[in-house]
Parts: sequence; structure tokens; C-alpha cells
Amino acid sequence: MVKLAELPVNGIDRVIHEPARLLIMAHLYVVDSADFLFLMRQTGLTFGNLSSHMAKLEGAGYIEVVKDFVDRKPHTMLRVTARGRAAFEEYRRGMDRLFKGLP
Amino acid sequence: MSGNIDLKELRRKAMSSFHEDGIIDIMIGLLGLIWGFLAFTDDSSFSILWVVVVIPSYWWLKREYTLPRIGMVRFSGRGKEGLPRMLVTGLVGAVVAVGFALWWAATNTSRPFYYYLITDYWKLIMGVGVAVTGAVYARLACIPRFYAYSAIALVLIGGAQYSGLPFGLHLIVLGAVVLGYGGYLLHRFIAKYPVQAVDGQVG
Repeated sequence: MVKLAELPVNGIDRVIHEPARLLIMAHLYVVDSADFLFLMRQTGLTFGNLSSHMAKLEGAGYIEVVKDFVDRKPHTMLRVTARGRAAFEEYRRGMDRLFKGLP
Repeated sequence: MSGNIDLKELRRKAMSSFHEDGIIDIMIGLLGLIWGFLAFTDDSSFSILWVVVVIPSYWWLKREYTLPRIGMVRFSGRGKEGLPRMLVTGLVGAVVAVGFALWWAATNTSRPFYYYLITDYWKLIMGVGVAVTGAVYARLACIPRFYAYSAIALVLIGGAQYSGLPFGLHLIVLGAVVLGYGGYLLHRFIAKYPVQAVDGQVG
């Protein structure tokens, strides 16, 4: 039987590990950028919920706000940073190692 | 938990939801209709200009109807995500290359065999080309209904080789079908997604 202490959980990124933030990171990971409303629709999160989680991700340097233009009008978009992309990939590898260690 | 998140499915869902509005269908249908009518006139040289009109119209409609309802997403254009754009670029390049090859052959006294192949069977070739392009785009951009459009294009455009009816009529029918379905999709999209104001921006 595997002991809890032997599971490689200590390295799991807890910023990404929260379910809502994991969902946000996953959605932003597969696109170049998306705006707030698109993320709300795709994740099903409420405005307030999404806002607070985005702030946490931005604070960790995993996402950034970019100004884009649509039909020559400014539009605010969100994008995963290089650091965020690396962190998300490492998170996925870490979770794979964790689950492979289970019987 | 990460093992249960299917990133490919997320990407597919993002791409297909962005085109759920039917606006790309409306634009393509409109182009088909316009080119179809222009084919009846003697002056089809301005038909390419309509593409210059349609592309800004596409983004205007996206901003008017799509962004306030489901927001905006951009795909990177790198790697596999860039394939739809590369496909369109490749298609334009192929058309230019064929056009140049035809012009070169026409200006030579001894015309190569492909000149007669293209000039005699251009409708069939165009029908197959449009169908293949549409099917590939359907796969890359995750818009399954484009498979159906491809089949219709093959029958209508390729069938024009043998139907005896004016070529423009086939384009008009194809354009009307795609435009009509696009209009239905837009109507359904507007009903399904109410405008959602987000703090600081609509959409």
C-alpha cells in the first residue's frame, strides 16, 4: 500500500490546482487569447468567481492582460504567459506522475 | 484531475463555438451569390474586389453579434492551429499558380496537354478543388457542417461540367444554400445567447 507521505504531492502547483483556476488555465492554454466573456461562457463560472481567480493567476504571473483590436476597436484579451504555460505543463506532468504512482 | 481534462476537446469546443454564429457561412454564401450573378455579366473582373468588402464585413458582424454574446477568442496561428490559415494561403497560391500556368500556356504556340485539360474541364476541376478545400477546412477548423457544403459544392460546381445550365446558376444555388443556412444559424445563435454585458466592455 502506498503511504500518503510517499506520494509526490508537495510539488503540485496549488495556484493551478484549484478546480476553477485549472479550468481557466486549460481554456487559455489551448488558444492564443480570449476575452472575459468567452471564458465565462466556456467555463460556466460567474463573473465574480472568474474575476477573483483571474486576479490570483495574474498575481502569480501565469496570465496577462493584452489590448487587442477587433474591427479597429480596442478589446481586452487575456493570455497565458510563457511562465504560465511552463507552469501548466509542469502541473500536468506532476499530476501524471502522481497518478502513475497509485496502484 | 489533469488527466480528465481533454485539451484537444477544449480546443475543438472553442473553435466550433466561435463559428456557431453562422457568420462565416453568410459571408461565403454571399460571395457565391455575387460571383454567380457576376458570371452572367461580361465583366467578372471585379469579382475579386468583393473579397475586400466581405472580410471587413465579417469582422463587423462578429463585433455586432458574436462578441457581445459569447466573447472573443483568437487562435495562435502557430503549429496545428495555423493550418486553416495556411490552407487558405495555399489555396490562393495554387489558384495564382494555375492562372499563371494557363496564361503562359496560352501565350505559347505549342500548348502543353494540361492547357486543354484545364480549359475543357475547369468546372469539374474547380468543383473537386472547392470540395477538397472545404472538407480539409472543416477538419482543421472543427466546423463539421463544411463537410456538407463540400459535398454540395462538388455536385453543383463539378456537375456544372455536364448539366448544360449556366455556370453562374450553380454558384447562385450554392451561395443561396450556404447563405440561407448561415442565416438560420445566426438566428438560432442570437436566440440562444443573450447579450451579456461584462464590466468594462460589452463582450
